[in-house]
Amino acid sequence: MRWWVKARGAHSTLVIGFLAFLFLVTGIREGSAVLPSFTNGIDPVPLMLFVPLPLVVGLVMCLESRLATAEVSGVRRVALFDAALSLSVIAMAMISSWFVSAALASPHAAAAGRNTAFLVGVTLLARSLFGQPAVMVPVAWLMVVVLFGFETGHRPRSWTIVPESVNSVHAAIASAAACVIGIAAQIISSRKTP
Amino acid sequence: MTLEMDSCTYAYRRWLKPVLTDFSWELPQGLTILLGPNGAGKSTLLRLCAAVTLPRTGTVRFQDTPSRRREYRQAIAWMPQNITPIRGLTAREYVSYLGWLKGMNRSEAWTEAAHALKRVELSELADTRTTRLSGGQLRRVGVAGALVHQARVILLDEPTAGMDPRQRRVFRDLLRDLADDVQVLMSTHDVADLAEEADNVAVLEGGRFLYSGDTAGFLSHTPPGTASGRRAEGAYTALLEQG
Repeated sequence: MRWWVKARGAHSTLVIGFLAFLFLVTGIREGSAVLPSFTNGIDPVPLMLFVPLPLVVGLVMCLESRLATAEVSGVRRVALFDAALSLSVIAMAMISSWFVSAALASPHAAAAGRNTAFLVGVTLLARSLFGQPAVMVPVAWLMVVVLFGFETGHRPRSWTIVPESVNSVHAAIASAAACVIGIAAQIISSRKTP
Repeated sequence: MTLEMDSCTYAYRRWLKPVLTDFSWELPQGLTILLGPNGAGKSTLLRLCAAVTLPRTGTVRFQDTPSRRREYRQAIAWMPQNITPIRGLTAREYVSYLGWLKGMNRSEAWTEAAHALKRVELSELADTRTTRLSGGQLRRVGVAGALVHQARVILLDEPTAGMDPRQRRVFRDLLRDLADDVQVLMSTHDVADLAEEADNVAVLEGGRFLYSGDTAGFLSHTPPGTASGRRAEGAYTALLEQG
């Protein structure tokens, strides 16, 4: 188990990713920036949308740091350890963002935890299909959201999920579904030939 | 008491031409060298035997245990063609991790990793990170990984690539030593160096054997007039030309 942790680099990459997440979620709070958009004119976009990125990218880097054929032909259930690692990342992000939100009275901070769950799920699903290039999926998703995801008046379109308010029921359901599907895909795809 | 492939068919994708079709073979005792040009199916055959992948049809078995079973996987050791260095692991940790993956407990894997590294003369680099090892040193780490859990069958995919001549010598001695106790199947392009030391030779092309049998039989295909140091190479070339 210890060597699995070291092989994944969970003790370094994920810790750095998590610290970056905490730093950003605490520092950005309700900050926003004007970013180019095809559908939204010049309304500012909350920077909190981008906060999950270091953690999601860190998780993919960890999962890709592996001995693929040895793990497939071994007898340890490494796929389940990997699934537990992904769930831990989501849990840590949700708990810490909830605490930050409560401490700083920042509703955007609470949404960062939910958004991490959504982006991890989508990324794991893409990784099961395309492998390592899936690390670009959360970045691409956020770019598409910024460019096409807002209606005039700064209302997020329903498919965007990440800019929805923390109270949005459909965003919560979509995040939970993405999370479950992504982790299931991760376990199933681990049986594929590397 | 051997590794058998029974009517195995395997294609990397359903719509692609199979690499192996209805392929049956029994791995002989001792050291067997698997020869063949690039794309002949050597790595596929080894990956099937190593349970890295399962055949689409047919079975791979060791002592009647199919390759999907835990007992099979513990009986087989495997060294892939590409050894991936892992940033966080030293050579000893890397080998220990491979042992742990095969079901060894932590202290057993740690102890046996030291022995395995000693056998490939890499003890002095045991605490060096694998990202700092040369290609040849990494291959020796890979060989140590195949030795760590006392497997009954050892599968090596081009293990000598990148090794210097002295290390090849050490490796050949190690192979001879191993083959007394376990079955060893090794793919290589190093025909001249290794084929004459093997107990058996198999030549694969296009997913079928052009030859599979003892080394004397293989060498009997050597064209007349071939220099004595090039008999294996001559026999291999002759077999490929005969098709």
